[in-house]
Amino acid sequence: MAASINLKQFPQPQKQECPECHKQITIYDPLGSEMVVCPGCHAYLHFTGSKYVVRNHVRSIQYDPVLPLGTEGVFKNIAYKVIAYLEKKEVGTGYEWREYMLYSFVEGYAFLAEYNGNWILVAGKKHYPILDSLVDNGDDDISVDGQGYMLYNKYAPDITALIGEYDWDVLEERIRASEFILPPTILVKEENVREHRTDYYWGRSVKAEEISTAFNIPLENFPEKTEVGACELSPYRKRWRDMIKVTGILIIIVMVIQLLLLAIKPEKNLLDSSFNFSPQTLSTADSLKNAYSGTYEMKSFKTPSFVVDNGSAPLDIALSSAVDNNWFESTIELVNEKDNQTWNLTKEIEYYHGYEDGDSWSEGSTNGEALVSSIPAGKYHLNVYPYSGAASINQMNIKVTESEVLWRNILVTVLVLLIYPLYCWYRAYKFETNRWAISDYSPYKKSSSSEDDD
Amino acid sequence: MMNPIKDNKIYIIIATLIIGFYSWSAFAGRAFWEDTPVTRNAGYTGPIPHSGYGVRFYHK
Repeated sequence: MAASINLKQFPQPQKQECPECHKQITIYDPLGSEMVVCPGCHAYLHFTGSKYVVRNHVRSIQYDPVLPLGTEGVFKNIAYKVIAYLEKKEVGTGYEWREYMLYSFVEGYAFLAEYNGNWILVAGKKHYPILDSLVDNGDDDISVDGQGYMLYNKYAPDITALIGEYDWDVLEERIRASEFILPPTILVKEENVREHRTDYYWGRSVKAEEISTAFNIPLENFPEKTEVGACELSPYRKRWRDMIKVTGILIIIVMVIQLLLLAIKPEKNLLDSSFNFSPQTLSTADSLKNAYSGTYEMKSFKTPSFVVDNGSAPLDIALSSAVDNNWFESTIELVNEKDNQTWNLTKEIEYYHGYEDGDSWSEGSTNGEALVSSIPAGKYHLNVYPYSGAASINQMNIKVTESEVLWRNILVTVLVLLIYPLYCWYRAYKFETNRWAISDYSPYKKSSSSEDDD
Repeated sequence: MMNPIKDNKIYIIIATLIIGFYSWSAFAGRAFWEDTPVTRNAGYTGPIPHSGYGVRFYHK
C-alpha cells in the first residue's frame, strides 16, 4: 500500500475497531495506510486487506505531541494532516528526537522533526524535485543543485514509541542514516539495511512560529529551543557577510579621502639642515653640577624661518645626532613669527651598543621624530635647546615636513570601523561552533591525531 | 531579498559619523594623538632630567 495522493481533498476518515481492546481507531487515510497503532492498548496493527491483525505491541509515547493526530494546516502552501507521531533515539547515544508525519493528499508524506526545540521539515523527491539534481559520489561527498553538503551526523535511529498510521511497516525497517547540512537546508541519506535500498530526503529548518501559525497551535505548547539547530540559518552569518561589503566600501571611502587630502595638501619639506652647537658657558659651580649629574647643557639656537602654506597642518619634526653609547635631548619650541604663539616639545635620542659574551647588542637609535598637529598657516622658526650626556656631542640635523600622512588617524579609523564587523564575525563563529558542538564531523574540532600530538 | 544597507543602518550611521570625524581631522591637520607631549605657549625652563633606558646596562 502507499499513501493516497493526487486527490482533491483529504480522504474521509474511517473508524476501525481494535481487534484487541475494541477501542475505536480513527484512520485518516483508509486506502493508503497499512499499519496503525491502537491508542488504547498500543497494539501495532497490520491491515491485511480485509481486517486488522495485531502484529506487535509498542510502548506508549513519553511526550504529548505538540501537533495532535488529525490536526490540519496549510504549511508552505501545502495542505497537511498530522497522521502519525514517532519518538526516536540514536542507537548507542542518549540523543532523542520526535517526528510528526504529515500527510498531503497531493504530495504524500513529509516529516516534521523536532530536536531540542529546533524544527526541520523533510520530505522526498515528490515534495522537493531539487533532489533530482543530487549527486552522491560516495565517501560522504554529496551535492544538491551543484552545492556541496557537509556531513553532520551518522547514526542508526531506533523508534522508542509511536502512534498513528503508516503506509509501510515502520518497525520492520533498519536504517543507517547520514545527515548532511548546508544551512538552512539538510539532506538525509537513509540506507535501508534490510532492503539494500538508499533513499534521500531533503529539507530545511523551520521556525516554531511558522508551524504554530500553519496548524493553529498555541506557541506556548511548543518545546523551548535550548540549542542551535543542525541546519538552523545563522542570523549572524548574513550580517557578517553584509559587514564585509559595507565595511569594505567604508574603508575605500577613507582611502579616497586620504588621496583627496594628498592632492589638496601635499607633503612638503620645510626645513632640512644640520646645526652645530657648543656647551654653554657656565659658572664653575654650574659646570661641576652638570658634570656630576652627567647633563651637559648646550647653547640654544634658532633655525631659519619657514612658511606653513597649507594650514592648519601637521608638522613632523625629525631629529638626528651621531650619539654613540650616549644620549642627546632637545627641547624644541615652534614659534609663530606673527603672533608669537609657541608649541613646545622635548625629544630624546639615545643609542647604546656593545659586545658581550660573544654577542653584539644595541639599543635605541640616532634618530627621533615628533609630531605637532593643527599648526595654522604662517611663518615659523624653531628655537632649539639641546643638552646631552657628553660635552663632545655638538651637531644635530633637523628636518621639518608639512602635511605628512597621518597614518595613525587612518589606522585608528579603520580599526574602529572594524570593531562591529569583527563582533559579527565572532558571533557567526560562535554560532557555527555551537551548531557543530554535538557533531563528530565538526570542522571546528581538532582531529584526534593532532590532539594526540599535543 | 534583504538589503545590507537597510539592515545595518545603525552601523552605517555611526560609521558615517566616524568617517566624518576622520575627514574633519584630516583636513584640519589634526592628529588623533601626539606621541611626544606638546605644550602651548610654555617657555623653556631648562633641561629635563634624563632617565634613559632602564635596561641599557642589563641587556643580557
